[in-house]
Amino acid sequence: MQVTIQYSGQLKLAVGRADERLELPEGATLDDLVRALAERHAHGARRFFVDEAGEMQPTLMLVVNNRQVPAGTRQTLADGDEVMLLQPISGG
Amino acid sequence: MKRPLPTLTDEERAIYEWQIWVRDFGEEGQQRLKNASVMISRCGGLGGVVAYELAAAGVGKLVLAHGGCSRPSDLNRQLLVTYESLGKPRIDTMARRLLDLNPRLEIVAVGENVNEDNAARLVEQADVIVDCAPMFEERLAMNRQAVLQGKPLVECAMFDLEATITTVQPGSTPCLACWCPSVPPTWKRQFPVFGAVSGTVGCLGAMEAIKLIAGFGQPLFNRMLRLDLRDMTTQTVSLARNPNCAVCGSLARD
Repeated sequence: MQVTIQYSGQLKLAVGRADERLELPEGATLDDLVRALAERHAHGARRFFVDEAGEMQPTLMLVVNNRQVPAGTRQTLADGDEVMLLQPISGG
Repeated sequence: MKRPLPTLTDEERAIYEWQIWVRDFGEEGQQRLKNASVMISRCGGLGGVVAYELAAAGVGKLVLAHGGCSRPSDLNRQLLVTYESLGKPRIDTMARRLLDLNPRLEIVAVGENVNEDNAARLVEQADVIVDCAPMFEERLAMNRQAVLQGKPLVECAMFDLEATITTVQPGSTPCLACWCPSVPPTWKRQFPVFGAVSGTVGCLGAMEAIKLIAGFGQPLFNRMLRLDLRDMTTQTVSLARNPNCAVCGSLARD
């Protein structure tokens, strides 16, 4: 299946693009997606996705089809899902 | 906001006449603004515009927290800072500029940024909080106190040409810590900013505060509005409370 990923804030600058598509196996979860992205962007943006222990960053806000998924929720993705990775911002 | 509503003077009716015409707002809405107090955490590019709009709209009292002296790099966005005031305490210039616009305004000017020690005292003095700080430590401290004291909090932020805004109603909506439980390890103190971007979200934040105080319209409860001024797109994201949130997870759902 294929999902679309949108990036925001500093994360968009770190990965160097606003969006991309990713092929995932059927039954893949949001957690699988984040780990796959951490691998794909291992140089320069890994720490935005996972911490040093390889666990998902607790401050990475995950939004699937415009609905935020609370941290710790196991969510299975579906073909065509649009996933936004919102990096919290605080500029003023 | 439960204090008896004050009457408007003839001068106030003349000044606010055009906004009193706004549907669902009216003279009672203006009285509610006059009766209300708003705390603004940092009054720079974003919070300065919130403060200016609320002063213009006739909010009775503003509690402003902003430390330090003004620097040249403030001048591209911090509209309450002036060229002549460079090197001087920002908070003094900010208060003066607001009083130039609205001399009826009561201002509590605190020349320090929000921290764990002063957050409770600052929040106590206001009906509504607007969070515009550039540091997550300040935002998280303000959020914690707003939730503890049951005060609505408008959470607005920007980066580059992006902006986000949501409104927290403790006990019924997600709080900041529901989706940002700690300081993001990748956030940097210095961020790219045009004043027009921080000013845009500042105007939206001021409007949220006005709606909360006057009790009309639909604030951004359980929603985050996201703007990207680079391509002029907007998105509305549905937010969910985190039942394990260390700040508001124990509050009953309204």
